[in-house]
Amino acid sequence: MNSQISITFMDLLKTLQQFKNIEPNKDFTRKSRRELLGGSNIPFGIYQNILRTLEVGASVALAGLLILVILGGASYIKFFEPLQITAIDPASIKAEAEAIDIQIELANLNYNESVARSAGESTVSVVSQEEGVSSDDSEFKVLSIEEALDLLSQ
Amino acid sequence: MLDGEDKLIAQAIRGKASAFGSLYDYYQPKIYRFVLIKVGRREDAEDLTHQVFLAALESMKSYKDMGYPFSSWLYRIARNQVIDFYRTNKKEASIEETEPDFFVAPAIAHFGVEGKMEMEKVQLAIQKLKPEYQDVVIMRFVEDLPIKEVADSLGKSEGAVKLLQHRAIRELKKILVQA
Repeated sequence: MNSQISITFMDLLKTLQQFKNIEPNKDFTRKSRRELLGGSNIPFGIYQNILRTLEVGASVALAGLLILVILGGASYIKFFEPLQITAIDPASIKAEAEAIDIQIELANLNYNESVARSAGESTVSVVSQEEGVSSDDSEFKVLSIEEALDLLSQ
Repeated sequence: MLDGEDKLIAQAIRGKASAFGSLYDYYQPKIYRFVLIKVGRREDAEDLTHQVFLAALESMKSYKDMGYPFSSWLYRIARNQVIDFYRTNKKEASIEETEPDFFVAPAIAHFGVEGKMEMEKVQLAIQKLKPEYQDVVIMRFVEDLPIKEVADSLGKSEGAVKLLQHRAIRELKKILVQA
């Protein structure tokens, strides 16, 4: 009888030890942990509250600083804008442009309105500047379009 | 005891969620088993385990190291939760009327038919013990806690715990032989 009780006791201990292998359901654990630590139930201590307030304050301050930097940057550009305009002064550009000797001769192109009107068709006055002939010797001929085209094709 | 537990507790008191998370990860399975063996139903054990850690989290600010292990504080909360649970739900009267599947079975399904039956038998026998016998049996023989830690958790002397465990095992064997 005693040995039977002893065996039962050993079996009992063995069975009790097996309970240690019981693990909570993983979904339950995940959900419970998230609710406890991820939710709003975390009772922050006084230091944590101060830290949190400081974090918010720091964020606002940084955002303000960023805005100031952006606006300050814009003012900075405006401050230097007159200098940049001076550098590209229109008066000096005009003087420079006038200093350039531009000689464009349009003497070789004429439009004889009166002939065109009398012929009833548009005429183009073409200046033919033949080789070996100086500009003083150049002659002006009034040609019709067909003649001008013939000359060009030759 | 968890490595660096004192540091984690100090951080958790200051509100560091990750520190409390580490304590939760280590102690949650122990508390769950403690509650499950006492109440039997997995769903109830899950609810109560969550409540234990919620209460612990809410009381963390006022936690003071009195020289007792952190686990003893958690077990004390768990014991109170189970007492409140039985007080409000009057589960004691309905234990034997409840379907076996509602008991610990889902949590031990992977132990095989024979092992599962044996565990259910022992678990039902534990539930018939006085609450303090249950506490001693679970803490000493399931969780292998040292006598001092059990004594701290139960607020008793080590000598009293030794006596309690002796009586608890004798009572448990008696229930099992009668079953």
